[in-house]
Amino acid sequence: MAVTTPSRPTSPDGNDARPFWDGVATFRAARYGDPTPSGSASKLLDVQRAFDHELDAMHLAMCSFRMRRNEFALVSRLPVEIMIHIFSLLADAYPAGVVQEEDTGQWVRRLGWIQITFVCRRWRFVALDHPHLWRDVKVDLPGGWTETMISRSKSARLRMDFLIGLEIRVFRVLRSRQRQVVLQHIHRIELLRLPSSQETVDALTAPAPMLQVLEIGPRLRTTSTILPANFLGNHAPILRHLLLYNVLNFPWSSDICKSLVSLKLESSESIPSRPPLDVVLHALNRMPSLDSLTLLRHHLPEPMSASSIVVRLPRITELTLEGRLPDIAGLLRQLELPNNPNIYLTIFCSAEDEGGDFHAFFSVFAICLRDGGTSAAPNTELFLKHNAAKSTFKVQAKRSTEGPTTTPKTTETFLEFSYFNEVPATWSHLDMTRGIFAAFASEHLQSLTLVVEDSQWTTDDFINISGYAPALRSLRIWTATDKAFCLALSRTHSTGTETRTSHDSEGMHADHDPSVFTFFPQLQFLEICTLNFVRAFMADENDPEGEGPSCDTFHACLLARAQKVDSPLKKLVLRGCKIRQQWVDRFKEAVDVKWDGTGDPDAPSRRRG
Amino acid sequence: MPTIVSVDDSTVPGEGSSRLLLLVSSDNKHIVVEEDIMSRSRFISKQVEGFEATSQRHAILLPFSSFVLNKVIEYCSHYRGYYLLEDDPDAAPPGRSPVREWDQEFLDVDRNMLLRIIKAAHYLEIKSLVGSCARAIADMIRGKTTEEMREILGVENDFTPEEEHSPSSKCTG
Repeated sequence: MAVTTPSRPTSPDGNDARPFWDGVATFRAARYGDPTPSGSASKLLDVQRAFDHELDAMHLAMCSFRMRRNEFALVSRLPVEIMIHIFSLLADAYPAGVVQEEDTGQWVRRLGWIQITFVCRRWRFVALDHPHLWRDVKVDLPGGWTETMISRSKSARLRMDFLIGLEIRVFRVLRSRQRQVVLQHIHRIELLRLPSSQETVDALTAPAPMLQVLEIGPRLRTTSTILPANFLGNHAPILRHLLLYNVLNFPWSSDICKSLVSLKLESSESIPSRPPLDVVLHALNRMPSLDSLTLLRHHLPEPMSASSIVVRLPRITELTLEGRLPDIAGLLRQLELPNNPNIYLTIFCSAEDEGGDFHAFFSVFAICLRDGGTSAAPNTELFLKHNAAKSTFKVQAKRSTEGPTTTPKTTETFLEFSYFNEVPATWSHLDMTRGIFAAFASEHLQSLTLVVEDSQWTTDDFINISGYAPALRSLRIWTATDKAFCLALSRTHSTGTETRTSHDSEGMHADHDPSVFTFFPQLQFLEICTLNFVRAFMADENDPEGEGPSCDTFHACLLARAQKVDSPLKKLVLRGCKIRQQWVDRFKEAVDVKWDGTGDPDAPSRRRG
Repeated sequence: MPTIVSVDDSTVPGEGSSRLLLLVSSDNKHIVVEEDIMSRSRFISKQVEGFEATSQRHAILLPFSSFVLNKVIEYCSHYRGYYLLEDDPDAAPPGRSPVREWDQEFLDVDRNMLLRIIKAAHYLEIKSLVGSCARAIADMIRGKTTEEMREILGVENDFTPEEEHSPSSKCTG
């Protein structure tokens, strides 16, 4: 078969290169003569080697040509700083190492952005000439890439994250080689996230002058490690963020704490000797920049009967405490917080804890929550739930992030308070709610969700709560104390008593006193869910006093609210309430009604359904 | 530095509430644009300050085509009066953020045009546009193989065999 050489297009300038290179190739090939059958095997091999040499040389020449060609490519004419900008973005968006693929969820090991160094010489040259591109050292790449990245980073500050993906993969300890890398470069590491092991932590005794972020974890690890006494050589002058999970013996008195902006200490294991409160307070006093403080479980200091130290944390915006009530209350009492920090409290109660500290706790709570009336971010939403079955109490509060507006669009949760295990018997839901409202700046409160299982609530208790939140527009109430609630709902200014009702021509009760209501007068949205709807459902309709939401008094006052001239009430949601379709139809004439229909006594088939 | 040529009054329309600038592209197209629009360009702003010092009117010669210049003007017109963090010399550099929706559509152009726009934006010191273009280019090559990247950006593999097999080697070419 005849072998033909491929044809190439004529060059654009009309100067055809083909004859020239054909000539060159023919000339070079002619140097080696024709192969003859009599040629010795060794001679043939020599000629082949010579041709290989020719091809290598041609390949190099072609590389030069390609390089020259690339110089005319638009992308090659971009200034170096733009290329670095692009590479930096790519390094962020397409990192090297072990990563989880977005589409498949699979964990893959890849070179990521580093692939750009294989595109062309200029790209490699630019990337290798900019050490900061290599500062995110990946430790899970094969083939010596860790060392290569460190070498290319020259003297740039390093970021080493050994925890990426670890929490959902297998917990690992640092391999000996990786540990050596860390220790060798600790003087220029800026960010370090390490899986904890006693061996690794013990080795962290060298100063870390460039360290800004240190995390030792991962969070889900359950075994604890103990920090050495000279952790980081007591020298990490610009350490800003410190997160330690299940690491004990935190050096509260060390200089490494001075510049902290955020500190998070969590331990699930019991600590033999917890830090004394005074030591922690002195340490906090030396952290003027602290913005976020999280102390969980056994890292809370031992409470003291009294401490003269009051620590001012002027910049704190987030405080998260989790533990026993005496520990949390003991610490909170000694802290002077600015207006409006976000506070997340999770309180666990043990059998020996008494409810005696209830009032003291809420007085501390009040100090934490008051905004002094000058807040630019008024509290807008409050959720209070007491679960009697689980003996838990939960508070969640939100505030406007836009400052005082009539209809805030964006809110942030700034208080979460969960009380687990045994709520002391002396702490009734009513007392808890009163305590919260007494502590809480609620004059701008717009939305309240109240889960009231406690049958101790009276009509006056509801009315009192209403007094704390005159601007309330939305009320969601899950109540077992239906009657007290519905009487509160009907309370008006003019008489100071329940709304009088009588039968109208349709045999239904109608309101006779549509004056201003006392109970949340600005209410626009009302959702009622009776927790014990079975009881309400079974109530005797002929009971003149009614039994909760099934009583006509309740319906009448609701209707009065809806029908009142200029009534702000716009929407009514009824769940589990015993109510007739006719009443619902009348409500619908005045307001938007959403009713689940579960309680219509005239529709038994629907109930069964 | 750009070449600055003196122009007579007839070239530049009369001054109104917003002053007018005369921009001259590399293909010698004269484009009149309000100074307000181009104030996003630090380069133009510095030029205008220079004009005020000499109290002379000038045209600003720019080393890119009218086609590219018009795209840049379109961008500046769209964001006229907007505050963009990236263009604030006093603000901290913005972190990783997605390309703005309008920018995505604006930059839905062919590769060569995109590269020309980023180069012009860099010349004119419009950081927000440089940033958007850079993100668009990074998105274009993200997740691609080396060969695909070469194809997308129109470059050839110019490594010597030795360099290709030794990724740690630094090219000196």
